[in-house]
Order: sequence, then C-alpha cells, then structure tokens
Amino acid sequence: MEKQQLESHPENSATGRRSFLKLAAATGTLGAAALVLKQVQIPRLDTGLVAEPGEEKIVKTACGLCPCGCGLDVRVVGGKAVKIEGNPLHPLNQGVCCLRAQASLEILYSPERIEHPRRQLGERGSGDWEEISWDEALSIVAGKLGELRAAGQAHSVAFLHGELRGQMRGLVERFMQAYGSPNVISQDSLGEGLARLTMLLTQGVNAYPVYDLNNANYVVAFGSNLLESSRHVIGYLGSLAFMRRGRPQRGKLVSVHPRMALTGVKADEWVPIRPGTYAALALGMANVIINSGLYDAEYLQDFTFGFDDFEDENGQTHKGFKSLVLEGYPLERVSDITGVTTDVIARLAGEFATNRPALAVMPTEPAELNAGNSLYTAMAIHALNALVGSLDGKGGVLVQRFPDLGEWPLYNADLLGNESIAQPRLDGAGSPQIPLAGSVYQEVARRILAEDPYPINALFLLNANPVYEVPNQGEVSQALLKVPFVVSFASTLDESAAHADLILPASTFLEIWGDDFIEGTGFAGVTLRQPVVEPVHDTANPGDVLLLLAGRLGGPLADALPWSDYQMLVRERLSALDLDWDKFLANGNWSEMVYFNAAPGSKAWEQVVGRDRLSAPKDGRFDFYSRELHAILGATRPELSADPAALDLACLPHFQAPTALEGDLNQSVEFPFLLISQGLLMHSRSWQGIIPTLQECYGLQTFVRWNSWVEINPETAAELGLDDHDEVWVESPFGKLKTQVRLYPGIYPNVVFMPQGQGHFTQVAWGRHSELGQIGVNANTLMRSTTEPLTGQAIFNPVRVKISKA
Amino acid sequence: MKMKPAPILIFSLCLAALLLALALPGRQVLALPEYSSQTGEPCATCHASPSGGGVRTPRGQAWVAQSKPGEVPDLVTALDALGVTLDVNEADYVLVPETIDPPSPLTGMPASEISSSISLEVQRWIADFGGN
Repeated sequence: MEKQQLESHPENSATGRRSFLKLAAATGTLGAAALVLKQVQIPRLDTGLVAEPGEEKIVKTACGLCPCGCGLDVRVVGGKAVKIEGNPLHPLNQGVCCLRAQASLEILYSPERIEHPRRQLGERGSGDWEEISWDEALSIVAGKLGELRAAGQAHSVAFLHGELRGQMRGLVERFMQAYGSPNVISQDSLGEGLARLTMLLTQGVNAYPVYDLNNANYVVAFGSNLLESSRHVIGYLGSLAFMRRGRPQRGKLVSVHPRMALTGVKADEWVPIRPGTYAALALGMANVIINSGLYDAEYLQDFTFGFDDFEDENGQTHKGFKSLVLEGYPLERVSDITGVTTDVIARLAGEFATNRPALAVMPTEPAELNAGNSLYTAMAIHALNALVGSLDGKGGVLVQRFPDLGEWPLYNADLLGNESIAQPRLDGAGSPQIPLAGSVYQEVARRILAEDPYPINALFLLNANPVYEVPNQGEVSQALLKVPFVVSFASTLDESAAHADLILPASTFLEIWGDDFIEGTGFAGVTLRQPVVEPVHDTANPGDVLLLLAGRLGGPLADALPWSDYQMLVRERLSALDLDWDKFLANGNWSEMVYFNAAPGSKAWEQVVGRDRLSAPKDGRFDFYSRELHAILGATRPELSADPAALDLACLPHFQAPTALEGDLNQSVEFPFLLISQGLLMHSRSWQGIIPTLQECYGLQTFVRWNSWVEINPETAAELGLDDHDEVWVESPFGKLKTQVRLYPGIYPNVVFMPQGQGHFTQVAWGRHSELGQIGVNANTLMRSTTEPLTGQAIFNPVRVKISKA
Repeated sequence: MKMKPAPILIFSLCLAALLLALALPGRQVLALPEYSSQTGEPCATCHASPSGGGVRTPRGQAWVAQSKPGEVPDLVTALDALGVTLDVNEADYVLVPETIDPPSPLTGMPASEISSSISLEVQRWIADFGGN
C-alpha cells in the first residue's frame, strides 16, 4: 500500500533519488562502522575472568547439574570457559542441552563460591570462619577419623550424599567400608529410589526404568514431571519430538497430575487428579482393560506371575491381580477417589490398551510420590505396562544397562573395621521395620538427636544440604549442632555447610576428572568428565580428597584406595572396557550405541525380567503378585501369618489413602487446601547457590523471577477474595510463609502449588536485592517428613495448608 | 514525502547482508531434504541435529559410505559397515520356540519371629546398584 502511494506521487521520484543516496551513504557508513567497532576496546571489569585472546578449543565433558549427565562441548578461549553447548556425539542429549547446562558458567565463575578450605572458629552457625590450607584441613580430618577409629567408634561416622556419578559411588562406599562404618546414606528416600525399588519387586531388576518414547504410540505419565524434572528429562524431550513429528504415526502423551506442569503443557491431554491417588486411577484403568478383554492372556500366562488367583505349595488359594482389580476398583469407586470422571477413565484405558506399544510412566524424581503410599502406587502404575506387554519391547519399558567394569580389587580389612561395620545403620535402613530401604535420609536428624542406635561423632556432607532439603522443622540444624565434628564438601555456603566445622570446598564439575554412567538410553555407556579449565579457586575434587585422606589414614584404607589421584582411579576402572583413550577424550563418551530388545522367553529376557531377584525365582516372570515381597514380609511381619488376605494385599499393587488425606476432620476444616511442590526445569538439586540466568526465568509458566509464588485455581482464589499478585500467608500446621499469588487455571481446585529450589540464603547482593538475604521462600518449611513403613520413603507431599491475605 | 529512517535502516541491512552473502565463497550443500524424501527417513536418522545438516549419525555415515542407496541401513548394519564390532549375540534376543514352564508354586509362609538378618540382607541387596 505504502509502496503504491510512493510510486504514484509525482514528488516521490525526487524523494526516491534522495533516499537512494541516503541509503548508499548509510550502507557505506555501516561498513565503516563495522570496521571502527572492530578496533573499539570494550571496557571491561578487571576481574581476571574475561577471556584473553589465546588458544581456542572445545573441551568435551559431562554435565553435573542433574541426573541426565549430558555430554557437553565447552568452548575455552585463553584458558577461560566462555560457552557451553551439548555434545552432538553424546547418545542421550545428541547435541542439545538445557538452560541449566548453558548457564553453568555462572557456577564456575560464581561469586558465591568458597575459594579456600575453611574452619569455623566460633560456635557452629556463627559464621566466624578462618581460611586454612588444604594440608591443615586434611590433617584435621585425618586426625579426627584416626582417633575415632582407634577408639572403636568408626561406625559413629556417617556420610550423607546426594547424586554420586560413575566411580564416585564406589569410592565413597569403599572408603567407608574400609574405614568401618555402615553409614553411607543417600537421598534415595526423598523419592528417587522408589522407581528402582519398584522395578526390583515386580520385574526383578535393580535398575531405573527407561521409557522408549521414540517407539511408543501412547504414553501416560502418572505424577511424573517427565519433561521437566524426571531423571532422564533431556532424553525424553528429544524422544517426545520424535514421537510426535519424526515418524509416520504420531504418538499421544497424557499427563496425569494435579498440576499442569510443563509436561502437562506439552502433553496432548492433561488429566487433573486429586494428589496421591494415581494408584486408584491405574487400577481403574486395569479394571476396564481386563473387563473388556483387551489384554493378551497367553502373554500374561507365560511371562507373569499372580495375574490370576493361584494356589501355593500347601494348596492355599491366593488372590491374584485380576480378582483384586475387578472386585476393588470399579469405575465409580475410582472416580470418587481420584476426581477423574468415569468416561475419562474408560477412554484412557481403551486408548492405552489399543494403541500399543503403550507406556505407563512412574516418577523417577523426588517429591512426586511422597504421599505415604509410594510403593503400591508405583507398583500399580508399572503393572499397566505388564498388562499390555510393554516390557522391554520396542516402545516399552527398557532396562538401563551399565558397563561391566568388574569387581574392585580385594584389600586387607582389619578387625577394627569389621567389628564397626557390623553395627546397625544410623538411618534404620535394613532394620525389620524398614527392610525395603537402601537409605533413609530424612530419618538421620531425628536419630542423631535421639542417639538411636548410638551417638554420632562425625558427619560428612557431599552434594547434600539436609538443612534445606529435609522438611524437619529445624531438627536437622539441631542434629548438626549435636554432632561433634561436621565436614562439608559444599561449593557455596549452603544452609548445612553453615553448621559445619570444616568446609573442604568441592571444585565444580567443569574443573575435575571423573566419569558418568550414561542413563536414559537403555544401552550401556560412559561419559568422560575432564577439567575444561584450571581450577578457578583453591578447591579440590572430593574424589581426590578421599584418596588423600585414605593415604593419610593408612592401614586398610590405604590398601583399599591405593590410587594417587581420582583421574588414575577412573582410568584404571575404565580400563576394563579396553577403550582407545584418545578417542574417548575426543568424543567425550563411549557407549554400546544399540539397545537390543529381548523377546519374551528369549535367553536375554532373563536379563530384563528376574535377573536380580533375591528370594523369588529367576524365572523370567513379571510379578503382579510380588513373590519378593512375600518372602520379605514373611520374615519381617509375623503378624501377617494370621491374616492371609492381608498378606495377599500386601504383595499386590493397591490403593492406600495418602497420609495427608487421613487425620482428623478438624484439621481438614482448618487447613482446607493441599499444598504440592515439585521440581522445575530451572531448579538444579546439585547446586545450592544462585544461578542468575535461571532466576531470571524461574517461573516459566508464571513469569515470576527471583522469587517464589503460590499457584491457586482462579475459582478458589475468587472464593477467598484473592487477586493475582496478592501477598498471602500460606500456613500449615508446621509453619507459615509469605509469598505472592499467581492465578493458574491448570491446577486442581483444592490444591495449591509452590515451587522447589527457592528460599536459599545468599551472601551476594545480585543487583536485585540491596541487602544480603533470601531469594524466595523454601516450601519445605511448611512440611514435616515422616517415614513410610517398609520402604523408608519420606512422606511430606502434599501437606494441608490454609491461605490468608497478608 | 521523505522516507522514514526505519525503512532506510532495514534496506541498508538487507543490502549489506546481500553483499556479504555474495562475497562469501560458494559452499557445497551437503544435507538435502530430497535425501529425506528419497529414503523416507527423517533428517535425524542421518544427522545428530533433528533439523538436518552437520554431524552425521552412524546410520548417516554408513549411508554415505554406501553411496547413498535408496534405504538407510539400520543401526546394527550401519555399525557393522563402519567396522564397529558389537559384543552381542543377536540370537540371544530372539525367542526360540519351546515349552514355557509353569511358575513354581509360591513357597515360604510368614515366620513366627522377626528375622533381622534377612532385613539386613535385603538392605544390602537394594543398595547393591551398579549405576550412578
């Protein structure tokens, strides 16, 4: 339109000539400006962190910010890391990486980092720190450990840890074993260990499930934030794109969750559900599938156990999965429990059973199944996979394999260590009360305070910040103060490190040697972690620190850990793979590259069904009725002998009411809402400091930055007289927090949501806060964890709350 | 009527971009949508990037090495063609028809006393995990 007017107007010819001259001049000016700009010295801060011109290279390493362990390409200029991208040669992330990895230069060069080892001079928690040398720090720790061991108190040393990758898990366990303590305690009980336990009790393999979205036609994610915070999120994001657009038949993703998280946003369908009721929905779907005859009876007969009722060796009849589901989970009842309408349940079940390969996904991330009914919920979800034959087939549940590196070399243990290690564990895992727990992280503080089963004299924290992570209302801080000697490997002064005697600051994952078992692909592989730059500060790899301590302690520790440094240890352990080291360095990883699906009944089938069973037969059968549970409960729950029906129920997936929905009526009136919390894409559990770029986009769906919020359904908010951005108090029986309201229609009406990962205290003013302080609020302070019997899983989510205008 | 400054700037930038493009040496295009049509495979079959181009996957490398036939070899064939030896017996993954034994009957009834040794053994069994 404008062009036509220009051409038709008589004056425009002259204007056009003038314009042309101007344009020519402007173009010339642009070129000249570009030349000038090249010579302009851009002012820069004299921090020493700006890259000087120099050698430019790409260094391949492994990300350490979440359990994905993506391969990274780090561009290094003049000895400074300047850009991070995904390694295209890595089988999981295939060249992409999430914002966390991209932003991890802000970790490497963070002003929050602890630059030298330090010792707390005043009372613990006082903040009166003195920087000391590594030699002095190691002398203090070795002296203390040697003293305790000589006094026969090795078992009174506990080692709490978060994610340990590659050889680090083996190193930590070996260090503590040679030292003589049974107390290596992981964070598995906060939720992440449940998927592995479920696989073990039903499918008989001690492995995380890997969901083959690439080849699946129908995927139902029960409670899992599959595309935002699950264990293999980056792989699933790529697979979802392929499932949708990379192949002729488009697959469908359904997200079942009280909140439409990013997974729900990206899904084809979001099914809102009451918190903690996934088991009822899964069993309701099974009811429809069985009632409609949409299952393969021959497959179930040949490759599963306990689908139909059966007789034991004494001729006693036991209830099978089919009877349980048909009797106990008719649609109307399931709808009453879950809040999902009967027609939606029936449709989901029909679509699931008739669009195979179909997948029922259970959460592999913390805080999604912590309602007090975790085990039977996860079993119910996984039973759907067996019902439609989705075990290890294309588009089914794959079993993550790991490289076979062989046993660690034998060492000479001593009597002192052997006696100490036979003591019961601090966390109660492996006691008859909690037989199905590998670790019970949330119990540690309570037991330290109660000196149960014995006083703890020293505590190590590696990738662990229990004061922040465990909803225990200050108990963890008190427990740390009660322990005479606390050592933290923190990189920043996190809430737990603040209560330590010593901080041995860990280098970031960009400064150390290491390895990382590839997960999320199914096939085995290893990603190499190598230093991309020289350490920015006077920090160390915790692996090296443990080896140095072992050397100083001598005896069985030096014998068990003879390596001069962690790089040597990694290299020797990986030598079992007979790798070409130069190629390994150049590619950044090695993998088997192909996942072979085992046909049911094939020789390889034994590796994916039943391989790791302890008491149950390794007969290649998936257990609807868990024979492993039957054996364990038989040994640890004598009261069940009098009640065969109760024993049968305890071995079958079933619905149990979430702990938060039980309790007295008065509490539910006073605290009418259920608060849920889940990890977001911008949250890294491996870094306890502030990452500015992630803070800038923390609330991807709510646009809240550098802060927390509470999501409320608009209808609920209207009833409370609340508007968007109102300041409110969120109060539970255990505490109260002030935050802002964000109205969000994608949340179940009586449920409210707060994000995880905020509420850290920071020593740095980030330009957004003039005073040193807290960024957002920690939703954990509204919760109080208890422990699930049998599994030891923490119960804390959801919690009842009330909301009032501030 | 004078032209507004914004169109002048846009035109200038376009012109500069055009000149720059013309000045660059010609490059051979190595990834083509036609290949996708020819083979019936998405770009990601042969390229690490789902949108095509750049680093090739093993299947893509083998396809090029075989002079771009009508079909892209499957991964196992491709790895074989590239000289990668897989330490796997494929026959183990295929069902050989044979009679499936019925499950052995459930054994072991609940004990009369709690067994601490078994619960400790179970804890070690669960903690004995070969992964990260």
